[in-house]
Amino acid sequence: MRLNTRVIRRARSIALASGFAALSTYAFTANAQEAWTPSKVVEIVVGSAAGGGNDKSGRAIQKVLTQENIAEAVVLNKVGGGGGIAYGYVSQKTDPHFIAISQGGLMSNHISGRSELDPLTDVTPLSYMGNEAVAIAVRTDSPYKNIGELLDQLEKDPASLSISVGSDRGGANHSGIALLAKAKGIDAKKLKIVIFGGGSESVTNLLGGHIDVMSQLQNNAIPHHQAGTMRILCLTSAERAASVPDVPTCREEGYDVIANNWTVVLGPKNMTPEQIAGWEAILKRVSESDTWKELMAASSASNEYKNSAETKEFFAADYQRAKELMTELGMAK
Amino acid sequence: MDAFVHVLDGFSVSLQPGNLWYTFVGVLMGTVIGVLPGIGPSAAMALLIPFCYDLNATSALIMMAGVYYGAQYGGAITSILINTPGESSSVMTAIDGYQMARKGRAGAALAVSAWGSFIGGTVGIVALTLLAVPLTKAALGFGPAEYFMLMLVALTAVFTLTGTSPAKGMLSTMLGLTIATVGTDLQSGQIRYAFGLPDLQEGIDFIIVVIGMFAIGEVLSALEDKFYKKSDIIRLKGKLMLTREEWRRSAKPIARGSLIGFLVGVLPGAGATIASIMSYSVEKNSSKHPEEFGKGAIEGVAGPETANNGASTGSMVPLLTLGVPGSGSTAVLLGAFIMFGIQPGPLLFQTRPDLVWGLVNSMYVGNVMLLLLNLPLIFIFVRLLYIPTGILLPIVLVLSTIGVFAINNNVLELYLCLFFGIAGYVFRKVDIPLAPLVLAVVLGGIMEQSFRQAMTISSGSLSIFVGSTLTIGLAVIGVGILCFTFYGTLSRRKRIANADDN
Repeated sequence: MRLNTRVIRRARSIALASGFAALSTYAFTANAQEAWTPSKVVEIVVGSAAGGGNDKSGRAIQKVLTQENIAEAVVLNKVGGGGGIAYGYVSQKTDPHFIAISQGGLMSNHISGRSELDPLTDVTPLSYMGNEAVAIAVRTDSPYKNIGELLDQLEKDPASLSISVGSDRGGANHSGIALLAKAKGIDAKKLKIVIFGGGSESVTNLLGGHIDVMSQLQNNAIPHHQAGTMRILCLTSAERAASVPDVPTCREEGYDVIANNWTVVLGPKNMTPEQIAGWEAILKRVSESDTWKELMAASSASNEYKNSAETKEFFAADYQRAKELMTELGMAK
Repeated sequence: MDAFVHVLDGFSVSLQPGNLWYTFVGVLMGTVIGVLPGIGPSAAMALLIPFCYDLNATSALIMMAGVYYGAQYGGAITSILINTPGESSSVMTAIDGYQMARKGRAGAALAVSAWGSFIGGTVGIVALTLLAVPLTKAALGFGPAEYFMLMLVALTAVFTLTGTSPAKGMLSTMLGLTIATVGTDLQSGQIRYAFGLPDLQEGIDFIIVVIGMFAIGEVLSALEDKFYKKSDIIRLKGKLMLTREEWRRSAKPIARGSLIGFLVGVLPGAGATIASIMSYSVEKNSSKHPEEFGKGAIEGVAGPETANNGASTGSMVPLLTLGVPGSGSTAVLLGAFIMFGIQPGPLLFQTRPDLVWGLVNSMYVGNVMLLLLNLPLIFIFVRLLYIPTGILLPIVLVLSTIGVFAINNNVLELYLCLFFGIAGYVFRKVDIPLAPLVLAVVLGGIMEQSFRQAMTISSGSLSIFVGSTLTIGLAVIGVGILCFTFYGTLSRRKRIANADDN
């Protein structure tokens, strides 16, 4: 019997998702008279392939929207241009039922000249949904016991150690190690940076002894630190992570470095204040849901919420920060 | 002892009626998806995620894993019947499998794939149960330099093994490597050959090339056959399934394929594809009748099909022991772990033995189900051969188009696919093998990036490529393959010259 209802529910959600939008007139309870609410299927556009990167965030939002009867939603994977195709697709819509999940690449793509889309004017930031810090990690048998010793070695010879930043050239991972080097007075351009297909490749290459250091979003390193195969030297966050309380922040070690990759939900370029307010209310609810909290916890990210206006301010500051760093690394156009 | 108890507990999880049902649903979906060209297991698994919310984590993962290895069974079907591999790991199967179908032995080719997949998969699970940890250590020995050498050996094997002459094979490989350079270069961040189109910035998806070259190309050339020459295709001949002689010829390839598949599959990256190439290479080189390969040798189907299934099990090893996905599909599985709040990683075996062993042991059950499902399905699938060309070709075109569009919802990719279709038709006309090009597109990117990563690590010294036992071993194998091929070509020429003299 349980199975039957489940099958029916699945069939229904497929039917709804495939266009019978009229059926999904679930009223959104708070401020029902004034605030804008979705009146048809919401498209959540994701710039990575199914299963990867921010696809998980997209599917978590889809789950909350559906389960809490806010709206029917589908996830659309538009892979390409380092997320640029997804952002561009949503940017040009005139319909607020399209949202995109964005990450740091939104800034670096524009700064490097890879994408024309200006993150400060061509999209509407709806809500800031959280961020994840970078971990500087070595193998347990590495001679470097703390970040100070590692930076001493890099000061002697910046190119003496191979450092992987995953696929994130110029992004959060790269900025983690580059800012540390800068704090020590080392020219970050001289570091021997190796680029891999992603965080998992950094992990296997570090464990296999093919590279010396990885500067990578912390979810990649934490399980290996817990298992005793890697040592995290420091985290580029303001506070220690609950899952690895023994690991200091870089700040505690005397290097004032903050670097992280954020998740921001974007809407099309032109949106009315009512539409923005409607999405803020929905996304706030998402960020407070168990589903979202679980996702953030499982990927070691911190669940931090900013509304549209705050996110806009944050974007301006973050763009400036990224541009300065990328200029120093010789990567700005 | 403790570990043994966990393994047995795993059986009690995987044999619960609910989990048996989800295993069945998973493998059934996998089979269906494997048959559709273009819609690969990773896309299907990702689409499943929202429907898994109501389930517990173990059941959901069992079902998704079922889709994954089930699709490996289905992948052979289109390779054999319509010469269209659904994944890169079935490309080698298409070479001899399709020729067998044209000679009336489609049933045998499908049967040997099903048996090979079953045996390869099962051996893989036994090995996974016993050897997961030591194999992980061995796989970590593969760094950029080792990967580069491995890709070099694999591509050398491909171009020397397929088609009528090594020169044509090499040409095909080079064109494939060229296509693989399109897109953003990881190391420098530079965009190459994208012609200002954002759609090309991530490169050209392998599926577009394979569907174009194989499916569309085949449709075009079948159209020509239909109008201009009499078809020499024999639909079905003799026993539907395997004859005693075919069984005898397949036994050793299946045994070797199981071993190769699992060992190579453990390597993250292109494990299943490389495994199928290696298996084909071993079979052709150890055969007493290498000239039959490419013309419908059953060994050329049995080996690679076993190997790619063994490898799909093998790629679960790095996922479970390190939390590192070995392929696109296992990356989706990894995503599912995270969705369920499970942190994959080196501690998973200690923290969630019920889940790990429940999942692993469900694969034994799933493989039995797949065999029981696929053998009777052969009776239905071979009926495809009797569909009139005028109906079959449009169906292939429609499925191909949907498959390509489903990847990124991108129209430009449809045009690209058509372009590769025409290229595939031309290749057939001038007798250049397709497999090297397609496989070079898959492996070329990894090969180039590994080369550059290795060069960065060694600060520009080539000595890194002979710096470890593994790289030296791989180099020896590569040189060996080349010598073998040129010796073979020379002696064949001599034989032909002698025959002319006589």
